[in-house]
Amino acid sequence: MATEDQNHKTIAFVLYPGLTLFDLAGPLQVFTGVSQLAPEYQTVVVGERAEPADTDLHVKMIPTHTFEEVPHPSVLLVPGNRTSTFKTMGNEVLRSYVRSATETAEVAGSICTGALILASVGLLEGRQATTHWVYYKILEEFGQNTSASGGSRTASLSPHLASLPE
Amino acid sequence: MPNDEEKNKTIAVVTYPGFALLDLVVTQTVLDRGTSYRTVCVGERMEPMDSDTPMAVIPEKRLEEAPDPFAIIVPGGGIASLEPMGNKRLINYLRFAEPGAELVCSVSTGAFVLAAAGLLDGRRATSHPAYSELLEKLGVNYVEGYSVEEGKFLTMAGVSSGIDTTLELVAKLRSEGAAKRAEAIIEYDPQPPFGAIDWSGADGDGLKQILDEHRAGLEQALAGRPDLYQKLFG
Repeated sequence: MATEDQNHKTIAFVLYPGLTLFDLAGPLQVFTGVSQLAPEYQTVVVGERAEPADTDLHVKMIPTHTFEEVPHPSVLLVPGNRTSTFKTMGNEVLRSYVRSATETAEVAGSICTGALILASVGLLEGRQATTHWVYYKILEEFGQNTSASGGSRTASLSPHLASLPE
Repeated sequence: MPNDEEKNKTIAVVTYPGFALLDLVVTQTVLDRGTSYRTVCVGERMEPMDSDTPMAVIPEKRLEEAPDPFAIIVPGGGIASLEPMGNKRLINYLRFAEPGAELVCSVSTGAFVLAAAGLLDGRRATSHPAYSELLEKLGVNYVEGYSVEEGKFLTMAGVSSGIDTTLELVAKLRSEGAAKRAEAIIEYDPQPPFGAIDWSGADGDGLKQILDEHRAGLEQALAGRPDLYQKLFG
């Protein structure tokens, strides 16, 4: 079970229908490796319901936990997509989870257009952020200072997160 | 245009319990973004299957639903790749689909599954370097390398070589421009923050212990293939 114990850190990836699986799978694989070497880090995939969600590759993914089961992850990561991300920006259950989980998380991050979800609930206001190069102008409309980059670059972001001071 | 022709052709990515999720994701994503081929994740059943991450997946189709793929890709999974060697349905699928396929690929230890189907007999192939000696026991001519191509058989060493080799594959199947475009879409611009890998530690020294730990399970999984068990452990 995901735990809120101070000695344990939960890394939670947010799963939603239609997401770009590459955004999720890269950092997930890195953190799964971290969890094997350092069991105090637990990697989970959280979804609105504990049921399969479709992805851009038409492989269905099953979240390991529901939002309710992991209310306070140490790290929250939101993957992207195109139209599916836009649709998800209107999902109130997910929006409220991202907002409340971020309040207590040490790190809230996004991959690719996942930044649009963070921005859509006001978490990136006035902050520096990045996203996919196709979408950075849309992100700017939410009031962020952006620079284009992301996607497969997240595999290199993950070790930085994993080495954050406790 | 070759694109219409591509749309009717399937690239089957063959999954089994414990497979490396990222191997499936990188090959499917790069081919999806770079070509019009229809990539399909296939498995024995359309039921939840464990991956090498905490997340389980449900394949898009059953093996039987992709009987004549244009290409076959078998992902790796470390030690978990040895169990499907004894899975009769999966091995039969590979044997059945191979003659009609124009490309037969594996990533990392996925080479063991191809070898169990007899598809790499005497052929040059690569895998994860830690598994080189074990792969040779199956009659495969292991070659150290990022990727090794012999005829229609293309074996890749691991996840990151899977990205590079699949991009090269897109250039070959479609065009270099398409491969460059796919690179831009997935924003592939690797800059490992901690530098290059020290490959000197990637030998097979740790493998013996792992094999010992999994011996009982493998004996059971390979019960129907005593020939393979004998080659690996005899």
